[in-house]
Amino acid sequence: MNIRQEVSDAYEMLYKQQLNIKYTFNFSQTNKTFFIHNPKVGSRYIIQACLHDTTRFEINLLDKSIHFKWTSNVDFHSNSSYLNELYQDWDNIVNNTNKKDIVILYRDPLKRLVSAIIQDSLSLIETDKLSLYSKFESFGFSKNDIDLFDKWNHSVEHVNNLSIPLGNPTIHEMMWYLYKIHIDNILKKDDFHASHSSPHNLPLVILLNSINIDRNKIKFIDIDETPDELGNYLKSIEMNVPTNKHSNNKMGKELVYDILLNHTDYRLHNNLYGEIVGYDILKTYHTS
Amino acid sequence: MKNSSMYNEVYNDKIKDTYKFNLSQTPKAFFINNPKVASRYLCEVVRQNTTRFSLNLPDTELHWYENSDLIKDSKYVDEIRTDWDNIVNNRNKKDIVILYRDPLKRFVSAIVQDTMGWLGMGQSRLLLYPALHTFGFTDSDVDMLCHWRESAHPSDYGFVKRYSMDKDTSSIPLMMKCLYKIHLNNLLKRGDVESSHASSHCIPLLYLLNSINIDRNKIKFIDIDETPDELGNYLKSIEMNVPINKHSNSILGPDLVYDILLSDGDFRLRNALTAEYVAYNILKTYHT
Repeated sequence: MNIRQEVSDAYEMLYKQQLNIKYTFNFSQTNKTFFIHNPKVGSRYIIQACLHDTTRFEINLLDKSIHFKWTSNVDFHSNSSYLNELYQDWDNIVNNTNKKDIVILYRDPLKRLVSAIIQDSLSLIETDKLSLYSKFESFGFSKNDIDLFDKWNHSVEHVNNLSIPLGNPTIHEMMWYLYKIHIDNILKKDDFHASHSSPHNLPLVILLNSINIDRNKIKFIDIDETPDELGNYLKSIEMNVPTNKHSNNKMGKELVYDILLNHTDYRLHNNLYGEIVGYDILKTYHTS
Repeated sequence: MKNSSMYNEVYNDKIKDTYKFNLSQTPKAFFINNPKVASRYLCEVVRQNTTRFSLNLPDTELHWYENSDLIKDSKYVDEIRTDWDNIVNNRNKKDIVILYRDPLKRFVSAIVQDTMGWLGMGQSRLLLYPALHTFGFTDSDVDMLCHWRESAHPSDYGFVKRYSMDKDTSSIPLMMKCLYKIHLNNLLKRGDVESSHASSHCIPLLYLLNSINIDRNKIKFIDIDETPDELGNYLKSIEMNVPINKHSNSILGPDLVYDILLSDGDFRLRNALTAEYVAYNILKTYHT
């Protein structure tokens, strides 16, 4: 085998093994609307609006045939009537026979990352209890501090009620360390794409360039913009408007921004680079 | 309010970026490319050194980017600026030729070039001997590698051919594999991909094309890895100089780089290239 053939074969193998990227989206539907979104982009809000759990699909856009594959969701039967209608809606979109509104939710990647770090860190407290004490002890916290922290974490069940008590500097400080550990992991050691900040805007751009659809027929909603375009849209189609926006605002966003500003390097930029460009392109689709 | 100002601070300090392009011109064509996308080949075509600019997209004003070999206000550079104004204002008469390529092929080529570049720097020798000793190579082996690297000058366009590795008769490929591995590890785990020859290309192009008001049908897209040789054929069609040397790195061990990536690569390779692949696939849809 000559060197060119060898290189070409190695390229094919590597591409298939490590770079044949599939894109995942959350799809939801109502009688009037088909929603395309992703985690940390209004997903819990949409669950309440549609009164159904998240349905997540994987699309292999690179093989040029648009099909979607059910990805695991323990709360759903893969052949429910709700899902059958999703499949039907998708076929209609791909074949340009869709009658429902198509609503695409997107958001600023940095705001999404900050929200994802908060959510991932809070999950870590729950799932990684065994190492919680040793971690905090290594930062100089006492067992008492950690007990207090654990008690605070257990004092409420829902994130909306779990605000960091401003009067307790120790809990603040402990949350700062947890966020820092998670940011270091996600930017330096772990798989950024496997976190809640997996790509969203760029997959949307390739989706919109892969299906034959008139972009003027799509309603784009930037969920961080005010006035609340999503809430107003839901009202306009007489849908259930959730009263709770599930914002992570009370969970110490300022701590995360502080770490990103003072303790990160080029990796933050490199991880968000494509998403920022995708966001700006979606913004031009939205506003032009 | 506090979060909003912290957001702005992180965005401006860590995320905001400029987008870099190589721009070249002839009386009939205006070329847009980047390092590792036929840049040396184009230098031979236009008989000028690389001219590199940055843009604060979506703003389309050109900013001179450092280049020690060209005078910033030469006639050639002035004409690039005039051509650019014409493109932005939609009165351009020259062909606009955009060169792009598969991100993995470009990445591998960049690894080869960066490693060869590092090996050619005098100060690298201080680290070369101890680095290769740890892999079990002797001083004689490393002397041989240095001799091989010095046998031609990198600015000589014929040098690549004289550097081909004889796989059967020497330990040079083994040593090069170790150096490629060190560079790959640095780039994927510790170094800044955006500061290497593998800095983003397709993503900035995608953003550029969505920022300027230009009919994409008027643009000639050329994927430089495709056969038949579309770039060579285009140059012939406008009666331009067609360089005989394609400056390919294909005999400098891309097979070794693929081998390392296949055996040792993890999610970091995918994460480093995902955004570029999305943009590449979208450029492909513009092209075809």
